[in-house]
Amino acid sequence: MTLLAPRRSPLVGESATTRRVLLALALAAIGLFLLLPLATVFAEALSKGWGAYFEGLADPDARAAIRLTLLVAAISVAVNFAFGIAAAWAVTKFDFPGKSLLVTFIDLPFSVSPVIAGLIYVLLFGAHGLIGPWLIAHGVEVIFAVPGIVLATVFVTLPFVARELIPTMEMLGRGDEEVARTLGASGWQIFFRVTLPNVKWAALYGVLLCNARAMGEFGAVSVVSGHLRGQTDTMPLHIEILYNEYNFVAAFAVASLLALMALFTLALKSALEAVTENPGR
Amino acid sequence: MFARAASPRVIPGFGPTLGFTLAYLSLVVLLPLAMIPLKALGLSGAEVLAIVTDARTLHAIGLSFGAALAAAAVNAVLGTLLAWVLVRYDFPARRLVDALIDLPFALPTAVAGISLAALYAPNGWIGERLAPLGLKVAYTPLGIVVALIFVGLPFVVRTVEPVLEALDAEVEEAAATLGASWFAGFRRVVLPLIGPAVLTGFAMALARGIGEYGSVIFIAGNLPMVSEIAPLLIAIRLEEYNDAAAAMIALLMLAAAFALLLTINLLQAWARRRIGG
Amino acid sequence: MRIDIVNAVKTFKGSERPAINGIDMTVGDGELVALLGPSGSGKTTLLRAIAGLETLEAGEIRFDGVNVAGRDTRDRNVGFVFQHYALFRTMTVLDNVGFGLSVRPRASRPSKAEIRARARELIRLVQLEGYEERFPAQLSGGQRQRVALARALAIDPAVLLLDEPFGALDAKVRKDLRRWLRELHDRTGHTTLFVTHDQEEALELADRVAVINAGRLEQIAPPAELYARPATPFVCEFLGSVNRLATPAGAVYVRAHEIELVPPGTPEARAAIVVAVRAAGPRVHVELELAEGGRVEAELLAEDFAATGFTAGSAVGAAIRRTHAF
Repeated sequence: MTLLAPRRSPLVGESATTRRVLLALALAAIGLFLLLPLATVFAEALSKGWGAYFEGLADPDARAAIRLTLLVAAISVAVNFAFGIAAAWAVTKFDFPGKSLLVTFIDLPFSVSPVIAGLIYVLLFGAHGLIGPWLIAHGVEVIFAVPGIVLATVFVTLPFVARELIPTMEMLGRGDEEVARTLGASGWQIFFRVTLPNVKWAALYGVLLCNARAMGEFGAVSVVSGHLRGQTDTMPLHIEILYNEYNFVAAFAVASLLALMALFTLALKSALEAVTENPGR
Repeated sequence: MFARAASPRVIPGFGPTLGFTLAYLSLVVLLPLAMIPLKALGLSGAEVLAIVTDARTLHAIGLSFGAALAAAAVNAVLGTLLAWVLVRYDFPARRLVDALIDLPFALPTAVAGISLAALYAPNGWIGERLAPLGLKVAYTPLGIVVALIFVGLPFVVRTVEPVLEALDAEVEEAAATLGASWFAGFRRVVLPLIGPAVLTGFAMALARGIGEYGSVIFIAGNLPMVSEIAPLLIAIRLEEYNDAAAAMIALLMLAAAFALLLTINLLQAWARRRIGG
Repeated sequence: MRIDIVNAVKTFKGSERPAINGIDMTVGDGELVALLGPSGSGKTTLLRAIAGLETLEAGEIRFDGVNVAGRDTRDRNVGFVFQHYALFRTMTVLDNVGFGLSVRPRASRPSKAEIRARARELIRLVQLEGYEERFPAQLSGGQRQRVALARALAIDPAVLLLDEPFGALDAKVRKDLRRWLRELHDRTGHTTLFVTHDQEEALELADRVAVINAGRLEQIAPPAELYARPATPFVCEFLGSVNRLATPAGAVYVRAHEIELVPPGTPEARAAIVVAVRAAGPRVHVELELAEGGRVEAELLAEDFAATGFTAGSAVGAAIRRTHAF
């Protein structure tokens, strides 16, 4: 997917003018729809100078939101990484009935609105939910508390690692694992010494995308959070509160951190694509 | 161990990995999702009828689908153009542009939302340029389309790119030797071949757009019967402790989205059969 | 180690026809046996079943008389070389070869230094000194093949199983490696089974050749016997180029090089006309139209054909030296 040289010659008969016009249109679209919104985040964050910018970030509630976001992302990535590995192993190393249905189910969270993702946990664990009242009676709060935020985030980020690993492992086949087995390796030895080194970049790619979505999830988390400042506010939710309070500089200051995270993700993603395009090492 | 008893498998770990996968998927996804039909079933016929015929609900769902369709259509054209340029042309910073395409996947929706709202607001950088033309984007359905174009932009580019790369150059050359102009070559030879990929990207952008929330609510203005999207209405019903209504609207959305995607899948199967892809 | 295959049957899910359908054969200790057959004949499935990579639905596989049905691949101690080698791409040649030793249970695992020493020794055996730190992607096809073999030998296998070991190599490398494998086998004495669809490879390399067709064993015999006394029409047709002649007593088979061209009217020879002559290196293929009807192809040395003075259109006698009937 990375581009070093033109991959294909231009269409026969395509004039230089056509090419120039199409290129100009494409670059204009990129500028209008992608670059401008990105630049606006930083421009607004710094519109009152660096002092106001850092003031926005130094706020205790902002710091609490950053801490919570990191915690939620760490948990979501960890459990979905474990899930992705297990699911990819089961799906690609064995044949069993219902496999394609299972793969469809793994992708299901991507086709569900984030708000619905939050809703289902409220219906389950909320004060009027299916098992919520029982849990609350036993002192376990899920909704309007951190566990709910974690659950909603885990739901929306569930497919990322699995859907990177499954095609990669499918393509690599079972030969390496079979050889390792004939050579006497145990299941864990096969996984850690043969399979994981083969798929490490794909796994990292999945983790990267999973983390970006986990840190940035808004809709699902918004429904289950309860918006308790300093307690159940993640960074995206905190941005919403600040924005609705017309505290634009602080809102964009927090947003700029997430935008930096996004840029870092894109840079690492490009680097990973460059690595996987030159296999052998 | 129990996998061994059923049928010996060469590579170990079938039982534990499949067991964990099924358990996790059931607990995190399937059982919670089952709450929606379960909750909606608790409603009486009259209540269901009241919700599904409520003008505000219908408008919200119509808006979500309409705006998502419009944005996905724009993205189908724009995405094909971008994929074409990225695959076929050489220009400085191409690598950077290619990386930037995925920005909407990486940038949190709330960040995109406030940024687009700031840009398109009447006093924003774009908004103040559009105002003299009598064009109002922020706080109108048009703003929703703009936000959905942003979040759906990468889908078509990323589905079309690999197909465009794999296209057989000889087919285009054959068209040229037969006297086809550039545009005729593109429309009659290239487009039919990348059509299914465009449709796939369109469907993905559409599905994403229908449920999108974070990037939309800041720029939408959220006026009931004007610019209130279905996911927001669900959130509002939930805040009113009207869980059943929220579940019912969610069920409607899921059903409509399912029907839409099924149609697109059938269309795609038909297109694939025709070109033998 | 001796391997007995007893009435082996295996049908893949979703397939009507068994991939292997009642195969009985024995591979003696230290023997080098080829499994020869067209693609899809079931030979690879049989090889994988011996390794425990496939499970039989009926029949037994015995290692030195012991049924290994329930024995995991891991515990069968087989050296398996895959058609496309399946080298671990993330490991160096040295680590690939040493892998089998390094995954042994702690109690029986040699020290790191011993593993490296043993791996180096095997790399020397397969003539790849100097390539220890290379990665598979940096090797040629023939080199990868030898690494795969060294890796399989490292676990000191009771039996060596090779699936189309030369299938992915070009003709020149194939020939060299073939000779080299025979020498290696004679030196190490491993009981060895290899799968091939190339009759020349099987006949040249193996002590005995098992011809497999449609999941069944057609014949197992030393190469010379297989050629001289094919047991079934399939074996006869599969080895070399063969003409099928209809006779009142039924079909008989005649090998192309067992037809001699003689002057027309020679007793015992059939009258024929040369239809076409195609040169193939040192040999020529001569297509003949028999007076009694039907076409046959004769194969002879180019110089011998030149000596006869015949050309396309000549009337000749076709003397059939030998026929095979079943």
